[in-house]
Parts: sequence; structure tokens; C-alpha cells
Amino acid sequence: MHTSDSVLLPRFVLSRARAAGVDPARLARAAGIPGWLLADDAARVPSHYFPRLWELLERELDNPDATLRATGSYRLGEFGLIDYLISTADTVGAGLTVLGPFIGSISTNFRIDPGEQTETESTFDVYTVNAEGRGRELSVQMALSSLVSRMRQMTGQPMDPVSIEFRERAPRDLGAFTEQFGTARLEFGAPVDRITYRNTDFERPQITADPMLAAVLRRHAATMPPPPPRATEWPDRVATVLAEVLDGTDALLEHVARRLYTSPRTLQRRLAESGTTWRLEVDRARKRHFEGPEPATPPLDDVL
Amino acid sequence: MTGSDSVLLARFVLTRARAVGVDPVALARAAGIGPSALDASTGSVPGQCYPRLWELFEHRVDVPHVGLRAAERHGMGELGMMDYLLATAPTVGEGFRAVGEFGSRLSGNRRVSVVAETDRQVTFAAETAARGRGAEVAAQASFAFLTGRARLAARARITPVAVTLRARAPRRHGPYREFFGTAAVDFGAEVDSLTLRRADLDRPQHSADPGLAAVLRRGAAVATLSTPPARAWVDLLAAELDSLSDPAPPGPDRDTADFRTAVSLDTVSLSDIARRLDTSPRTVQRRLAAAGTSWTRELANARRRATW
Repeated sequence: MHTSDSVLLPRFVLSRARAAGVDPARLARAAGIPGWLLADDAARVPSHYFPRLWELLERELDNPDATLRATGSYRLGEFGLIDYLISTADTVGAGLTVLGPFIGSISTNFRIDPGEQTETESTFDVYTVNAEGRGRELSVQMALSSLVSRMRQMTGQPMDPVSIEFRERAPRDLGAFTEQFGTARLEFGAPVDRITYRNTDFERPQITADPMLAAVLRRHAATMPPPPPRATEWPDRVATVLAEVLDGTDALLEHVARRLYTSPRTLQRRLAESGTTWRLEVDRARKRHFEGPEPATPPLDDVL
Repeated sequence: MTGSDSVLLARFVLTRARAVGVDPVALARAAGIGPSALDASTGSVPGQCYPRLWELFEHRVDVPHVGLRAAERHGMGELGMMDYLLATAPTVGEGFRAVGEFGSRLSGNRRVSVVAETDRQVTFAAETAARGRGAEVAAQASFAFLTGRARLAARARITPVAVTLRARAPRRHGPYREFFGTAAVDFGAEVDSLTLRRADLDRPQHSADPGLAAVLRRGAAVATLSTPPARAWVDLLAAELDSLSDPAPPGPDRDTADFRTAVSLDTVSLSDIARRLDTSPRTVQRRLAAAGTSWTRELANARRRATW
């Protein structure tokens, strides 16, 4: 599958290279990036440049901490639209839900998928579609480190994740990792790259919240080519999770709220805003559940 | 007039009307805007509606400087993307330029553009093909809005060098002098224009945000203003027909007064209405047909409403 990045990603590495005293033009050339490509603000570039640049920068500086140190200075807005889509949401949890439908605006190479959940914690798994070796490891470091940094900037709180698991082997020195990820428990040599947060953190309000701007940006994002936005209406989202929950266990408001990274109280408010109630959605989900899956659409020949 | 205006502009007037106790729903209906159009935060209304809103608003409150109310700040974002393009620009002048550059996403009928420039000052004109009192008030509203936003973003009481307005001089100039902070407000002018010092336009804005501005400009570059739904023309026509049975005297707009003295609900013809809406009878018929109705049917409906 072909994947692409916003030009903002390679530019991010090159700006950090410059700050570290490395000639960005030379680094770009070494990565095979044509100069004209970097000049266009709206350009999409092949996604292999980004890991390649990190790899070259690490080698150039002869420092395995180069990526984490460079990403430490990330400021909200440097990744363009996706940053503002996340930052204008009301809460941390609401901001996270933007990642799924709109991450393509910065890169179609990264996926940050919701993983396992317990009553107190939620995990997110980070995948890259096209990246191997050290370049992939460094790209993942950058993705996780900017995720953590962005969340701190948006809440104005020194929020640390519970734990982070890396596929890469343990480094000799953990200094840069602990500096970046604070009190998070770190594991290396894990099967997937994974970050875990406390569920209570998702309720935190964002100081950058701006519902009007969020609406403007979402309308713009919806016209962007990469991934079509998924249904994000609260009733739809509740229905999806309920359907899953009803397969096995009881429908618990708390469980569902947790799956949606919010609190039961907030969830009920959202549903009320959308003109429905928890009770109604449970009934609907039950009905759907007992009626079974929708019959498959008949082939076109039968219709015509 | 063929253009349309964003529904956000209509809501902008209605918010201010509500703030001074005017029923926004009744005002919208009188201006030819149906309730469904107002519920949406996207979409557009026919170009006649926005100036008509100002005209009717002025008439209801009997305040000739009602356009200055546009400077009152009811909420960042009420003009959608335009608000943020204006606010995130590095300087006051860059913000004004963004309004000129991307104004067509908000209105297909009016625009703000630079008409004269020297080393010391820059003159912006509010240009529109629309005539009448509503268009005059709308231009005043544009200037009041821009001046108010510039003062807010620069945190300085920016005073224009000169303001020229097409409107005839009101009895009292006081409110204009007070708002703009200058006596150089000329009425009965050829154009609606606002002249600012370059030093003021170069002032940095406290709300500047280069990263967000770049994102918004990319969004604005591909954004377009939609055309109003067919139904909007039925609402507009109904408002015009209903105005013919309104016992209250018409306001200061000459076209409105002429229309209401020349025809009545008993005598009004399709060509009268087309002239009033600044279009051709054929276009009116075509638009009504697109909405699944007809001139005869709408006229009968209006006559029935009038006898209730």
C-alpha cells in the first residue's frame, strides 16, 4: 500500500537538524528529497523520507537519543491541521477520537489504534504501514513522544502515561526516555509499540478547547482527500460499542463510557445533546442485536 | 442580483437583533429566510436577505446607526472561518487582506478591497451591486466589524483617518463620530470606504497564530460558498408577498416604499415581484418550479395568509 506524509513531517526533522547544527539541505539530499518538494506548504510526500531522515540524523549526530531530544521541542501546531483538530476538542478523550478519522491529514503511514482496556486504563497501539528497521523505531519514538507532549501542552498539566512498550531493544542509557516520558513504566523488546493512559486522564479539559474553531476545522478536514471521516456522532459511536458489548456482557454505561474515553456523566450529556438517551440507545442496540445482522445488499443484477 | 450570502452573515444580524429585544425569528421571516436555513451553521441564503435584514432591523429599532452594532462582540467564530482568518493574521493589515482575499466564501455579493494606497495610509472600499438602504447599513456594519476586530486584536483604539458612506446624513452624527473616533465621517459619498493609517495596519495582533493561519488559508483556498436551496426562493417570495399586507408603514428604503405603494396583494404580478427581487420573471418561475411550486400557487397561499 502506498502511503504519504504531509511535507510538515520531513520539515520537522530538518528544522531539528538545523537546530542541532546539521545542514538541513545536505540531510534532505542524502535522504533523496528534491528541494522543490519541501517548498510547497500543502505538498504530500512519500512516507519513506521521514524514517530515513531520522535515521540519517541519528547517524550524523552519532547519538541514539537524537530523535527523542529533537521531538522534545515539538510545539502544538507544527503538524498543521491534525494538531488543531485535536487541540480544539473539549477534553483529552474527545481529542483522541479525532486521531482515527483525521490522522491521514499528517500521514497515512501511521495508525494509532485503541487496544485493550481495563476499568482504570486504556492502551493504544502504534503501527506503521511502511517502515522497517531503525527508521521505524525512531518514527515510533517520535509519534509517542509528540503524543505525550501534545497532551501536556493541551491540558497545561504534567500528564505522564502509565506505561510505554517499545518493540526496539533496550537502549544502554534510559536518560532521554525518562526525560521525555516522566514516570511512565518503560518496557523494551515488546511485541507491539503501545502506550497506556489512565482513563481518568481522558476527562481532563483542554485549555485549547474552541468548539467554533473545531467546527470550522472539521468541515475543512472533511474535504481532505485521504481517509473519509468515520461516523463520529455520539449516538452512532454508542451504538457501535453497545453492539459489541451486548455480544458478551451486560450493557454497562460505565463500560461503554470508558470505551469512548469519557465519563458516564459526560456521555449522557452528549447523548442528550444529540436528542437521545442512554436507555433508548440500549433498547435500540438490543433490538438490532436480536434481529441479527442486516441482510446483505442483493447483487446489482437482482435489483435491475 | 444573483449572488448569495453565507447563513452565518444572516445569523450575525439576528444575534444582534436578539440582543436588543427584537424577535429574531420574525425578523428572519420578514427578510425571507425560512426557519430551516437558520438552524444550519453552513449553507447560504439568497443575496437579497442579508441587506433586507439590516433594513428591517433598522426599521424595528428606529436607530439609523444600527450597523455600528456589528462591532459588538458576541462570540469569536460567529463568522466561521473568516473570523479565525482575520484573528490569526500577523498584523491588522494582513487580517484585512485575508478578508479581501477570502471574503467570497462568506458573501457572493459584497467584498472589501483595497482601492487606494500611499506610504501613509490605505483605503478599503466595501463594494456591492446591491442598492438601497439595507446595502448602505450593511457597508457600515462591515466597517464597524473590521474596526472593532482590529481594536480588539491590536489592543489599541485604532481610529480611521476617514470614513465615507453612501448613506444620506442622519440627523445625529454623534454615534458615528463616537464609534470611529473621528469627525471625518462623510455621508452621501460615492462609495463606502474606510481609510486607515499604515502604522495602525502594521500593528501586530495578539491573536496572531502563524501555524493556525496557514492551516486556515489552505482550508479557505478550497472552500466555496454553496448556492441556496430551491426552497430559499419560496421563502423569499413569501416574505415579499406578505409585506404587501403589512399594515405598518415601510421604513426608510425607497425601493421598499415604492414597491408597497405601487402594488397590492390583489394586483401584484409576476413581473412586479421579479423586479422587486432584481431578477427576471422566468428566473422566478424556474426557481419556484425547482422547489416544486409555482407563482399561482404561492400567490394564492399568500392571499390566504392575508385573510386570516
